[in-house]
Amino acid sequence: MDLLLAQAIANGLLIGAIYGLAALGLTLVWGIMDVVNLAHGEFVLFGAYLTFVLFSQRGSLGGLNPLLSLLVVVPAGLLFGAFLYRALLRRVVGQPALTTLLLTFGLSILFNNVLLNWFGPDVRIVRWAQSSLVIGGVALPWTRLIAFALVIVVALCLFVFLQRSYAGKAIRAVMQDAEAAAALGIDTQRVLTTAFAVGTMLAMVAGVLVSVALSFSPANGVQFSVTSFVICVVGGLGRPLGAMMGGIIVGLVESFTGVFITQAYTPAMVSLLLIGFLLVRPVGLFGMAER
Amino acid sequence: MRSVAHSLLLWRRPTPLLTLAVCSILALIPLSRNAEWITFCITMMNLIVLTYSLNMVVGLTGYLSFGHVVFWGLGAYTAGALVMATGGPIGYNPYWIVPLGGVVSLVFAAAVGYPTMRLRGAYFAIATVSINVAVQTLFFNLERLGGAEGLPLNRALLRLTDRVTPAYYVLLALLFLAFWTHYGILKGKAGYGLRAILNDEDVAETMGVNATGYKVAIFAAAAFFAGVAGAAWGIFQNFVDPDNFRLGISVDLFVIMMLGGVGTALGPLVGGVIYYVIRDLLILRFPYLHLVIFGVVIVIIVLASPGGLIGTLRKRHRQLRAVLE
Repeated sequence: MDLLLAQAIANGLLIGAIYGLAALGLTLVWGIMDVVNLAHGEFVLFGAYLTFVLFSQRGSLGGLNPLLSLLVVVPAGLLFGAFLYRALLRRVVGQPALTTLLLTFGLSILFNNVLLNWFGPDVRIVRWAQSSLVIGGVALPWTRLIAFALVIVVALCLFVFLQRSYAGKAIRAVMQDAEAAAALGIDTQRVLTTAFAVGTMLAMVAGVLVSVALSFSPANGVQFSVTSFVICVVGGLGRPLGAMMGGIIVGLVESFTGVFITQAYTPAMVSLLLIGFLLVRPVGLFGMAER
Repeated sequence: MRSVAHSLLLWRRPTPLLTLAVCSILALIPLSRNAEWITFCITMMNLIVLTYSLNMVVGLTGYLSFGHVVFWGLGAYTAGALVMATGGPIGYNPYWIVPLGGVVSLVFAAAVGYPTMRLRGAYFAIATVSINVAVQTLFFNLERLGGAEGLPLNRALLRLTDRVTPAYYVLLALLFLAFWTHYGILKGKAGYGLRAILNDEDVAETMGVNATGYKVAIFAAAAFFAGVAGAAWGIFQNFVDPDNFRLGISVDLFVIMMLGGVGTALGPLVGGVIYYVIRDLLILRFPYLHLVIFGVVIVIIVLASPGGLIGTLRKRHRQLRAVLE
């Protein structure tokens, strides 16, 4: 029983960290422009499929190491996010939730079905480093350990970016008070573009980690969106640290449900977690009361 | 376009007599005994009724009910569980019990609507998805009702000679009722209250509109239509399974609603027909392509003409406003 418990905790931590990284992007965008991006799960899938394509193709780049594919995914995510914001999202920022949600919902349908047309509905996996580190009977897959380490590295980079760089400080300023930031000469549109680009990039990097540590198919898009949303609610809106902690909580809830109740009930348990938080503590663990 | 507009003007507004006339023409279709046609119409009317149900919530209150299909699935399972209750072939026509599917969905909607409709925007939207997923998971694991494999009803429906024609008339009647409910709400006192909530809920409450009461009432009423449609669908299909809670169905409903025009009384009807024609043209050769196209269409509608087809027509042609709602 102790071994089972330890394994459940290990799985929950390792998977939860990836969820947390995916949710970081959503919470950043949501916190700064009050847009809940329902296409966020598809961004995660884009990262995963990009890695899959680079890994499984046979050309000169054949079998590209999934970690090296980050070199492609990071700039691709930044460019794609900046383009989407400039072309579409910019037009709906500040409008009622109905408008922003319907727009991102349309994008989600579009992206998901592009993937479905392209790759079909099959479940994919990137077969790389398929072995485990066993410590005292607890199996820790190398892919998930590497993913966990990468999550910490990316989260630290984001932290340094938000705390130290001018662009990061501008993002935090706009998040706190967009009008005051604009009055002080901060180019709000530029900051929002950066934020959306970074948010998209984080989701796609999470997708790279998903591709090696989990299996994926276009059907997972909604699941990643909803899970990320739940994590944002649990952790507190616009709180990067909250997103990481929320991710680990959701990961633990999933793995404990799988081990001690039955795997089939995990979607329901995550839903209950969300509804419980919304009813009892809507601002989340790290959130502050409404201003 | 001009002449169409003028001929529409003759009626001024959709009178009960006119809609009854249209319905009685549609009621002739089953006489053709063309099973393919009738099934096509049943499938289409089912989605249109569901879209009316969704439109009553989204279009009238502005609350995004993404998990709306849960009420349809509950209706289907209610019908399935009731006809299978005795274990043997039933002696009555199962279509008499479809209103009970609506009642179960109505009660469920009132029960979950009361706490969740206090949430706003994305919180409400994702909460409805969560409820849908939770209920679907429950039925996946409810072995008494067939679990993941679903519940075939043929043992109970052994004596039912015609499954198709009654389903057609149930859905046609529902379509008629749904249209008039929506139209009646738009024109009546409730419409003012709901419009106030849609525009600014806080102001509406300050002015004495019982926002919670209106929202929960419309949510429950909408769920009733979805539940009856679900029950009829379950009996028509002779089978209910957890796929009745598939989130993808909600996607279809949103596309139809936005094509026709969010909040308009004619929108679901117009949107449903267009959606079906396009889907049918594409689905055989490109099974997923129509959804790519509809994804683009939604994005364009949100950015360019939030009123959909009906809303845009109303805006362009002043004289059409009295006719099109």
